[in-house]
Amino acid sequence: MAPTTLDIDELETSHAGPEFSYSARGYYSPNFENRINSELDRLAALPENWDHEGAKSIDQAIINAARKLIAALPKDIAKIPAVIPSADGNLQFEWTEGPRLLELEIETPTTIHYLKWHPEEGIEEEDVFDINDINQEVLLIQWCMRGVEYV
Amino acid sequence: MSEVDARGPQVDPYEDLYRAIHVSDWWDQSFNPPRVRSSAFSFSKPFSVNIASIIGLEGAIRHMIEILGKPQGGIVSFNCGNARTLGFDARHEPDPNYPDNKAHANVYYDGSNNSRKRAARLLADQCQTVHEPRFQS
Repeated sequence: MAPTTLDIDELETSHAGPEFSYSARGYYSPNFENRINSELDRLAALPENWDHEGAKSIDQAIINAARKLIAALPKDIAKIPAVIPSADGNLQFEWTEGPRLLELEIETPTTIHYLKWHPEEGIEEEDVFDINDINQEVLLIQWCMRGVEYV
Repeated sequence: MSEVDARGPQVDPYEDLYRAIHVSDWWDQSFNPPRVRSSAFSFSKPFSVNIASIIGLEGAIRHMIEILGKPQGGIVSFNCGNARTLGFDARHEPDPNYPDNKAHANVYYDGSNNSRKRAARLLADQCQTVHEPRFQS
């Protein structure tokens, strides 16, 4: 089932750290973490061959890493993403906002393989980074949602 | 013999290929108009298609409904030659689960994993929906 886009509110999300800070409007997404965890429960229950083409079941270590990532995100940073299983046994979070697309694939329990996509602006960026790099995840999500305002 | 050499014959580049979208996670209903997600093409193992000139659209729909048992699924189409330029190599090979289906081909991604997601997104963008899914939202 495709996730539902929730009501958007004019919230201010802020975060400050020694090396990184941002301020941006956020999304009011009630039960953000719980709703994503429900989707992760669904993916965790997929049997092998769920695609009728030999797909692996979703690796429990990937599920756990995804839960940890979502719990670490700032409150109200984004609308609920689509949570998509991969035949390779991993999963990805996917956000679209107008022509912008962001895919955060948890390729291994320790790495994220992402696609940042807006061809009309010449953005077709793909790379891998450490899953514990929350600042990178926040920047990518904010780019997709509304853009980043550095403070 | 290399893994590539062990594959079946290449599908001609002018052929169109049908990909059955029978997993609701592969279909983005939040987009207008709805479209196939790149996740239908983005993994390390080959994925299944049917060669359009052999099976025909009605045959592909019938196969999905009667053989795969997925009446709510849809079908998207893309050109074999265009897909090959992105690194997706279609090979005419039987489906071991349904050997009577003479139209079956496997599509292998031969590019780097570092560009896999971009290639899958570009392939998804090339797809035309020829039979729209009717997944329950």
